Amino acid sequence: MNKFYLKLGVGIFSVLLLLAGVFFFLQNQERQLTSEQFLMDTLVSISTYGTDTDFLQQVTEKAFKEIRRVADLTDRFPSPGTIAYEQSDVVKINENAGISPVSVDEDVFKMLQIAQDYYELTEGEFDVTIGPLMDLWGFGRETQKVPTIVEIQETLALVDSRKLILDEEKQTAFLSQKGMSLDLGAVAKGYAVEKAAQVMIEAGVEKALINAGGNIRVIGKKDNNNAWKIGVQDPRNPSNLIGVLSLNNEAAVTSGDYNRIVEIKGKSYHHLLSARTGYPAGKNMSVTVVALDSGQADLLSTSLFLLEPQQALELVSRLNNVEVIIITTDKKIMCSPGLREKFEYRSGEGYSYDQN
Amino acid sequence: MNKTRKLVFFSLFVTLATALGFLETLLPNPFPLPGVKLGLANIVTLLVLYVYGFKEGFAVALLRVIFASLMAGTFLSISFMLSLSGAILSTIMMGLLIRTMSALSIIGVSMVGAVSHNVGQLITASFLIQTPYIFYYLPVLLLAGIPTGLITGYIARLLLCYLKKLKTV
Amino acid sequence: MTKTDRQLFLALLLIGVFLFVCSQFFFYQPNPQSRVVIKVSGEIIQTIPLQKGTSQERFIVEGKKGKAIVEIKELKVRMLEAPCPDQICVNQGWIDSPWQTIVCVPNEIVIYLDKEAPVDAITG
Repeated sequence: MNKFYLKLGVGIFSVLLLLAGVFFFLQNQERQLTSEQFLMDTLVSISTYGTDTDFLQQVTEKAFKEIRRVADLTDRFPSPGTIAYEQSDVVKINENAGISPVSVDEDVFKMLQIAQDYYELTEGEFDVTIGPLMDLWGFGRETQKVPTIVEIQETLALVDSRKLILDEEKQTAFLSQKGMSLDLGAVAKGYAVEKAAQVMIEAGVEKALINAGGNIRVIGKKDNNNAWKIGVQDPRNPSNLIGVLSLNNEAAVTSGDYNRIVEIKGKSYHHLLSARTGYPAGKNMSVTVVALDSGQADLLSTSLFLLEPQQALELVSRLNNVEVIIITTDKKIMCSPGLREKFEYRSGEGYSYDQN
Repeated sequence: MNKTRKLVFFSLFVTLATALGFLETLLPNPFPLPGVKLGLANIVTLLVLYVYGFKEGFAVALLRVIFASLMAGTFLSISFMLSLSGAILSTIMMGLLIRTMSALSIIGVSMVGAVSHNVGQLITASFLIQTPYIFYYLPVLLLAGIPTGLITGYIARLLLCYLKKLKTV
Repeated sequence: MTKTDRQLFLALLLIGVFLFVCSQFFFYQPNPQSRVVIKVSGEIIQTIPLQKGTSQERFIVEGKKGKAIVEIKELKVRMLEAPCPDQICVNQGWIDSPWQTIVCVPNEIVIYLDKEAPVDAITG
């Protein structure tokens, strides 16, 4: 009899232990939370992973708030009278061009400083004061037209980062000539994503993915054994991936000649304008930059796109923690040495992958 | 039982298990599936578990895997890890059953041993291969363990009659 | 064989058959696999895309004990030659499904088929 009770006891105990185990397992199961919002002219999606969904929800909201804040600060075309119009530092700087310096938000000041650096590094190919040229072509506007050579020459006189005067002490920005204007399109999105990532990291998020229309920032690893897999789009076939990047705690941003194009009289033009020639740059189909900082990756992808492929690779070799994949217009795929291990080339019609 | 006597028999068992395990690698594999073997060495482990007890059975299983791998020159290699994990899991399972389920005969215990040997190997192999598809083999290996366990179990039962005397003498 | 033995036998058989049926459903994949993955000592050393209509292709894989030859034809793959005593991997023949795995334990070579890994996001 005694033995029977002992067996019964052991049986019940093991069942309870099993139930407790299952409960514990379910409690600590990793959950994924994904939210999406339309911000900065694109769909921003944030996926976070963790055991506490309430916490993930809160952090995601904070991250979106941060992106919205940067978006408002850098918006070039808010409707007058709206809150966004009041809040945009870019509008203030542009309206005060040739009039007076404007004191700006810390983040806007930082973005302008980085932009100035890349003006130097690309020897003037990349220029944050490209606003008048963008307007001339009609990017971000209702109507587009191909400008005449004379128009372009006249407008290029208004594109000059040396006339953007930044005062670090007073934290002011000043465009010294009337008619000049800033366009932070090449940096704002990446910068905002990085700020959002920092907000999440500070809050204690260990695993997340932010995707702002191809501007990607990953936090942590996908899991113990695997990195995040980020596909690189085939510039001529949107349904194909040219290759896959394996990233941990990094950002990947692509500038391509297939994004934001305008069609004028049957010919298409993309928005990555050379500040030297005034025309869309024509050496590359796409440039994908991998860097620790999403803001830097964003700015660099635009800057490098404007350069000759060799020049771009040379510039990357001088920078720390920056890697690049360049797809040239003659369908050659080039990869900076540090990225070869992280990039798995797949295939695509007519491409050649240069392993060296 | 006499200590020296036990040592002699114990050593004989280890030798026998090692030899049987080695013999099996020389014979053509009767099963077309990777990982499925008759498991002749398991007979010895099973007998020792019955005649002496869990500690001794475990020691025989462990030593046989080590000696066999040293002979084949595969010590600490992946094939060694595979046999080791299979041997450990099956010995633990068999020892547990012998202790807790007296209604089970040596044949039933042998079946569980063969099945858990295969499962143990598979678990280790899954770390090596790291694809969930490896568990496609789980039911196959589980089913394959039933006949092999039956065969080795019958052989073990035949031998056990003679070995029972070991304890008394 | 005692009564309990027979019960155990039946139970194991049922579990085995049940799992087998489940696995057939679980691993059923309508799409053909698109690449061969070759691992040596747990590390992926080569992935080869599979395409219909490709003629035979052979690859040399450096295993623990020497050179092995892997052959790919259309959507299937096999170990053609391997420097191992048991030749289990060679005798296994062609494999063409994701759950089939060629393992050459002495050489620590693992060959299997899978789909190209799905990506978490796309940059472009």
